Amino acid sequence: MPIHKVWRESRPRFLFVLAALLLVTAASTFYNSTTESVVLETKDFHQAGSRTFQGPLFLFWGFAAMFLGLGGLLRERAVGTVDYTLSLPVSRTRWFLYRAINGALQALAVAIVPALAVPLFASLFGSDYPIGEAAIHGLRLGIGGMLFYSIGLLTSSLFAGEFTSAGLGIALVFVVNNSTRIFQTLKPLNLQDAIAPTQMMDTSPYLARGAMPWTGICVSFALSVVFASLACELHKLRDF
Amino acid sequence: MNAVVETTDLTKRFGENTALNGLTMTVPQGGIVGFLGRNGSGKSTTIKILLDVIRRTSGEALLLGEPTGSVAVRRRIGFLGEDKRLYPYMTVEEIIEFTRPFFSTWRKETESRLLRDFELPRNCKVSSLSKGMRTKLGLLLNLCRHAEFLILDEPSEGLDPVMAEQMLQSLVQQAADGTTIFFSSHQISEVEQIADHIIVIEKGRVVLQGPLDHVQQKFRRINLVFDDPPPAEAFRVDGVDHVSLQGRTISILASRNIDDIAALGPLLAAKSVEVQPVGLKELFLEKVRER
Amino acid sequence: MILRLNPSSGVPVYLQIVEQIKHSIEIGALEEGDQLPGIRPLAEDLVVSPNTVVKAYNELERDGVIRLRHGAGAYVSESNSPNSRRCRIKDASILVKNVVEKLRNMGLSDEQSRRLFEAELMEEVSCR
Repeated sequence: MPIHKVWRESRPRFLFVLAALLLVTAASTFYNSTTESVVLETKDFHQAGSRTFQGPLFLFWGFAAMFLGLGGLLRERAVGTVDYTLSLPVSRTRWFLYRAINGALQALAVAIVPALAVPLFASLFGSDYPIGEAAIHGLRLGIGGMLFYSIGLLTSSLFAGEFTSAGLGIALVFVVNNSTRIFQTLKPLNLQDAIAPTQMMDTSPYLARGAMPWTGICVSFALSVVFASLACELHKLRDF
Repeated sequence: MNAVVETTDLTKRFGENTALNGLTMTVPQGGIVGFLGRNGSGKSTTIKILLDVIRRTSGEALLLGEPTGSVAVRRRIGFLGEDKRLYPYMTVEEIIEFTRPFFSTWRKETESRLLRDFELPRNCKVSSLSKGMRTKLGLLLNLCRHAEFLILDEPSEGLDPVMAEQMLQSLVQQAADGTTIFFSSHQISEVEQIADHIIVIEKGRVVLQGPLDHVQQKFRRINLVFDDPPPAEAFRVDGVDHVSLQGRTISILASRNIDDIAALGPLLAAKSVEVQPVGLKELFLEKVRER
Repeated sequence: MILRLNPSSGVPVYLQIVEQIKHSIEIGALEEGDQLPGIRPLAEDLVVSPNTVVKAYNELERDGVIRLRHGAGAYVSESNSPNSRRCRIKDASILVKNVVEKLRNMGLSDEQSRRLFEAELMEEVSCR
């Protein structure tokens, strides 16, 4: 089945990213770099969790999602199997859709699973973190942050070389992230605010309060669909 | 008879480089077509355009009557690429399982028979197969679907003589079942053996095409021996494609008026006149060097 | 059927098949009424295009050398049929044409060639 092939080819990349993000989450949850204290002593998982969600998980996930967007038919050209794949009675649009959906689900998964790891770590060490909250943070990160994933899709449809598209992708992620912080007019669109719960955090007990930044999330998701469509069109037009 | 492939003035440019320069060719239905050309002549480019792997710059290309790019048409064709690369992480069994559902004309009896004949180990990963085994696997994946049209790019490349003959035999079997076969090759002797139609491409254009036996019956090499000096100029007449001088012998490649040209010999006091058929290799070399 | 083909000679493969089948009949390897291999088995055996075998069989039928019974295969025809006689005459006239051409190229006059032929044929008669 075509989707099974797409999954298998993306599996090593997915597992690598998942492992890396779990590691980052664990490190950030257990060690507070600002106070240089190990959380096991303070047992304040609420603070640790919120710190993780706001910072490291958001940051690393952004790059991870973009990384998941790379790959696909252009990679196949490097391996040499693209002729066989394209000779099959499957349209390029369909191949793209299979890959895009598979990757999007994976991007979502690598947001939710590490997010849910926080309550798990907390409960393992005698503390707590509300699972519902963690799940929502993870979902919001994954859905609102699809833009990073679609940046990966777009750059990989432009360039055959993995490094070139990765490089451009990283640059774009930085631009997207920082431009919305720097330019005041764009501030409402700031991704970090939208998908990482900085505005919402109550300082104590570090749980989310306030309304969900729906505008930011929706705009971001809509843009990611635009980028993905653009990537699809590029796929249809190019030579392999 | 319907043409399986029809290109009209097909052109492809890669930046400054013109790979195909007004290629006009027809692949007739039924039978085996040999596609000959030097490296860089445009063979692979042509095949890639037919499969819609790359897009043409201008001109027309029809595959089974439809413009290239039709997904429905790809259900009726098969393709074996030059690289013969298949998904390295899949096993023989897995790639067969993957390919089979795409083709409603797939026959399991052919699958079992070829797995046995080709001695392909079911549980072996494609990455660990030798090139010869990969070629056989690629061939199996194509033959089982009993397509209307098979495109093969250098199928015997990398095969030892026994495997190559086995492969040719499978192609003959498919042709007997009604599949039109189109294969590009550098092995001219192979083309002479199994092709009944040839297309020769050079610098992105067709320089010779037609039924092979017509081509063979059309061209002749006429060798005339004279006393010095051989009157080469007298032979630049209609029908002569190429004249070469070797000592006292004038060697002519002619495609028309063979009898008239040969008759010039006694008229010009030739010591001997020999008219011989021309092998495809010789013809190919003449035609591509001409340009 | 043992056929030795030389695809690189420049002589069309179908003609080679025709010639060799005719030769087999002449030397008695194939006799009247013998069944020839089917188109597919022969093509697979020789590893040539089935179209080539079809063309060869059609030519042999046209020359009266074989009979194609629809659905039942190809058979060597009886040698006395008008078609095969016509074919033999046709083959003979080609041979004669070639010999005459060769003799002319060697510089012999037609008179000289005719005298040589008559001498040869007379000798055949006197030997019998």
